[in-house]
Amino acid sequence: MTTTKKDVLTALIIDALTGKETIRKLTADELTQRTKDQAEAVAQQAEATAKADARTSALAKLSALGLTPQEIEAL
Amino acid sequence: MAKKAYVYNGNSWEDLASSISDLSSYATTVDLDDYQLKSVAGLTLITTATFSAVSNFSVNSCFSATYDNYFITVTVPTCASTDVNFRLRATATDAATNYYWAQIRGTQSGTVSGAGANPGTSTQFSHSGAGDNICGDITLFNPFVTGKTSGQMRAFGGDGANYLQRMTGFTHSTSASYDGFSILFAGNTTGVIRVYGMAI
Repeated sequence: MTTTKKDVLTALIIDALTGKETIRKLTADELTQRTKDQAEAVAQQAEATAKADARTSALAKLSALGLTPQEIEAL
Repeated sequence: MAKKAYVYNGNSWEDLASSISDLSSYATTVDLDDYQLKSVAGLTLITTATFSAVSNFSVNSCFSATYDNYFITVTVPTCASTDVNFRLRATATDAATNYYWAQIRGTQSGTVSGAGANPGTSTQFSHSGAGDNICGDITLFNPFVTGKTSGQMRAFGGDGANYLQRMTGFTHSTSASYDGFSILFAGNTTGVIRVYGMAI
């Protein structure tokens, strides 16, 4: 979900003892942390994709060398 | 053969039917509600929270000395994109450091990968595309006991044309007692979260 200037990100806090619900806007610190979390997520996804691509490439090269799928699996 | 009923008068047993006409002096003054007649093991629902258009969702005062371990279910039919993160919480404040976690990620196409943090500012729970659904559960071990808190998480969600399974283990290395938790979505999100205590 892409947020725009019109989107107001909110926090909901529920007290399990009293049932009281508090809704408020995210604080500046929470917005900063959110931006950091999203950047980390994008970086981790990119790293995972790069690893998967490298594995696919390595398997293709091994196959081109004449190894059977069983031999590759046994490595 | 019928059995006779007896009552104890403090010194000896007396025939209930013939000797005692008034039982009031034998009655206990303690209410029956003060006693647990039979141990009940299983999940006890602590709270159910339905939320709409919320980015940060927090529950306070849901962990206590009553239970050691807790089970949390998360159902989100419409999620914001990117990762969904989890934090422990004490006295209405998120703990934002010292989450050591390791995660196995699988997709419907059979690709398996991993991720982790050493440490992170939260534990990653799930991942979703914009408007997709996620469902999952979190098992927490000893969050209220002062010491390290550990947990296991499972989550499944859609991400456009893909479907993602994530299995995560984590330890929060700060020695503290936590009475709540937060789930952090990337944008305003709608869903239901239930918290259960595990009676043993």
